Amino acid sequence: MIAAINSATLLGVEGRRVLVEVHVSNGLPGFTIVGLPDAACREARDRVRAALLSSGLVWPMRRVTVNLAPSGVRKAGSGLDLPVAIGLLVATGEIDPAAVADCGFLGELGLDGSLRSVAGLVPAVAALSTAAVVVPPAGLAEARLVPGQVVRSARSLRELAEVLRGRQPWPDLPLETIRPSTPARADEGRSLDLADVRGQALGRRAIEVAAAGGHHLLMSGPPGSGKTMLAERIVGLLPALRQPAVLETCRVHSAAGLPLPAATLVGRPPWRAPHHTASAVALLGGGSVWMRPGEVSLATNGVLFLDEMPEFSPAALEGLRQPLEEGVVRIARARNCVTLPAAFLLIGAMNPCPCGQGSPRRPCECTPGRIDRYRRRLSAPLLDRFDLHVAMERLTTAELFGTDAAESSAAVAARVAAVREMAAARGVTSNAAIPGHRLDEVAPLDPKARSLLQRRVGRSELSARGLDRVRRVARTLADLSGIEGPVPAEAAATALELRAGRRALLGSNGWAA
Amino acid sequence: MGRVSAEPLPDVAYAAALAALPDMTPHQLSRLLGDAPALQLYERILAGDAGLLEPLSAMGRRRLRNGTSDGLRDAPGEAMRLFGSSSELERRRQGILTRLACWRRELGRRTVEDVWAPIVAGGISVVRRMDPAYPRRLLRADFPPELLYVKGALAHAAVPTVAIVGTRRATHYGMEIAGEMGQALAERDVAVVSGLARGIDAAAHAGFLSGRQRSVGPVAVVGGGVDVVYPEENRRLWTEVGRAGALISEAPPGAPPEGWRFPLRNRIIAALSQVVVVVESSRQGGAMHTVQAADSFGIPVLAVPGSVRSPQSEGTNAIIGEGGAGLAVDVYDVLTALSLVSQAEGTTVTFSPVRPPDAIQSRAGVPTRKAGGGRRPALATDADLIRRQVLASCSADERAVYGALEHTPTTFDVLCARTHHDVGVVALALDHLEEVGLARCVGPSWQRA
Repeated sequence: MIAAINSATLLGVEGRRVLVEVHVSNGLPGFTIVGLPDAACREARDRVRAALLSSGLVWPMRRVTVNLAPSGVRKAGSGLDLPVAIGLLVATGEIDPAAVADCGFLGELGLDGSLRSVAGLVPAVAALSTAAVVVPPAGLAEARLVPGQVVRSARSLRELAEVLRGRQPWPDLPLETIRPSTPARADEGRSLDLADVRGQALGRRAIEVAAAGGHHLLMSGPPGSGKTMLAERIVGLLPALRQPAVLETCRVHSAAGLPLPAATLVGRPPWRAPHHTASAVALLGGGSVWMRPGEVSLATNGVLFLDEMPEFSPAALEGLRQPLEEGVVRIARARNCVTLPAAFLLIGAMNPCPCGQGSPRRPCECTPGRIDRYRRRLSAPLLDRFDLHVAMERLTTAELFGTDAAESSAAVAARVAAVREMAAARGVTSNAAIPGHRLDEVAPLDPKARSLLQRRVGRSELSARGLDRVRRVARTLADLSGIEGPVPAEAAATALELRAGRRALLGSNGWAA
Repeated sequence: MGRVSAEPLPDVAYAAALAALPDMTPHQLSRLLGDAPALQLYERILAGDAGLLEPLSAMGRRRLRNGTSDGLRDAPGEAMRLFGSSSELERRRQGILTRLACWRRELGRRTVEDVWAPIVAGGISVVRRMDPAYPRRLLRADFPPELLYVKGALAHAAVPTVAIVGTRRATHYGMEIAGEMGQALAERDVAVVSGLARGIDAAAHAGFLSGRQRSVGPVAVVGGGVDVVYPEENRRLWTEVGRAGALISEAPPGAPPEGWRFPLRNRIIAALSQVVVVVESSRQGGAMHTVQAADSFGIPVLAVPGSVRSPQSEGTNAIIGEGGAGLAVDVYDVLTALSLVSQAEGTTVTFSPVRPPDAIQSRAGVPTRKAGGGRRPALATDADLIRRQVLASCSADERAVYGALEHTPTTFDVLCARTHHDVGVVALALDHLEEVGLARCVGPSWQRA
């Protein structure tokens, strides 16, 4: 008369175990779900009834109470359909309780009794400690990404019931029923190679340094100067992901209900480029029940590209500060508080002024006030997070045709991979993460580089924090040229030039308040 | 009028009270006051004497006809002659009577002391046209301001004065030239008059203050009240000009910087100066008002030429081309014009307008060299020689990078493309060139120094 089925729901990017208790007793026929279900969860009743009936199974004309334990936590989504149905079958004696005792169930039911996949299978499966987990066939490949879990599936509720009754073996379902993925723009479909980028010596170097050292990069320049073109090529430079980063990325994508890009399965870093109208919740994650991961989490272990950065809402932009600093984003709501991963490489792009045309070569018609307001949308603390800030300019025709053929992505990627290895040998995730107190040990300066930087600090062009950032970038530059010892002056000078875009944002006359 | 203090108020206090009336423009005030004491007009308004508004009636007519305020000195009766006894005239008269009633009410509500006390407390002095302290140069304006509100010392406007004006949307180039010119003039005890607007105006005064050595101070003629800082970003500069020189306005304290005040303000800038220098201006820019005013007062105008691609230099290049302005490539052109004016006025000058042979046009390090002109022969100047020596001590890479630099900003990418050098080599070379004073950065770009 009573059954308990293991299942899980999703909060943020973590699965949470849920015990689905089904109680069938005499009384007026009825069906109640308790334990804080959300609307989709409560609708399980109708889906389960239809699925049972169309599978030729029995819908009990008795009093049914379903409790989702722990009952004080909100449950969301339709993934509990399957455990409710199985629970009913156990409670009405259709299935032996022993057959489901050490098994977890996840999935949505169609009215015809088919099993449909739900978002967040990866974290949900990972959260279950049962000997096996049953998921819908479409989620089989996704669920099998979780190491050390036996994952089973069946095509329909009827087939599943037959298996659980011991009348037939588990069906051998093909793995390629994974949900179709749309090619992400940056790294699939066509090959984007750095060799396509003409000129832009500084921008190319900046992209290479960003990829090698994990330094956040801001590019400012008029439309058509190649900001997006360069940014899109960074994924091709980053080394392939390894475990556990692959699983973490899959977990986040799965939790967001997004198709896992085929490339993620082979370890390409994710690339996210949200439009600038994205809300703060879309960017950072959140929501009332589910706490869906935002773009910063989807970009974890990969690249977050924010084009037209000043056009993002101030709340969204300022919300980036915590993830940039800590690599995680902590979302707190009235009922829930989750920590989502957000260790991404930020590439920002902006125009030099609202009309986008201003440049040293060609002054534009924007008033100083408008330019000022536009630039101030990026707050100083946010700008401070960028180790690299390059100002780019549109090339003239002569420059477009006159420049030498550039290096290919493959050549640069090899250097990037080497630098990442060197960083790992130093015990840091990337050079951008070298802590300040280890700079003297890890990134010592040779005498010429020291005097060069001292001069800048002396002229107060460089703050103490700025100096640390320059030294990390200089370390990456030295690593890229294969120098493991002290950082040479050339790397220091280049590191300074790679943040020269900041100079454009400083006031032009010393009297400005 | 229940006066609190026993001391009688000066006549300018009454003038100030009248100027502070709603809808009282400087033109109207001047027209109504004539040469009479302000107290007299004050009492006539209080008495509701409609006859005193006759001059306003004429003024309005003329403006209606011309679309300008040129006809302010016309006989009051001219309007009657032009428009006869139309009903329009009657309608206008009614309007004026309403205004008179409004002014009477306002004078009753806000006493002369109410207006005067904050002016005194704010350290603002008020000078009327017939006061001995009134700058005599202003009288040559075709419509001298009746009242001047001054914060600071008006004496600063009496020494040799040069106006530096230009666009608010200035380029780096314009800001630099304005700053350098302001500084060079300050070093020679020439007062700089400007409008304290954004861009060129602010750069000129900022440069002036950095070069100031002696008693001469900056003079700023502002559009709103002298206590109304605009734009806000110039607050420090504003305060400093008020302390070191003079802030002048025709608008009563507290008056907002409304658009219509600025062309009027520009005529004061022109009239106060002996030479007007336009650094950057578009064809329709506000600085062109100053140029027109200066032209009509017979004050020489100089303009700084600029790139033909820069919209900010369209106006200046055009007036040079049309012969409306002389050429100002450096401070010596300004000083030459100034000494000619001073000579004509019979005053002595303390500076030398002769360009020394080693003078360089600007910090950009261009030696004085004019193509095809005998006026300034090409000379290998000291600065030029020093630069060559320094360059000779540089490495080949550094010389190549220097060769790729221009006198206008060049981006780093272009330098890499021109030299075919790696990013690091160019960065290191630029750092060295900057250290030895051959290059400097302008925003994210680089140019020769």
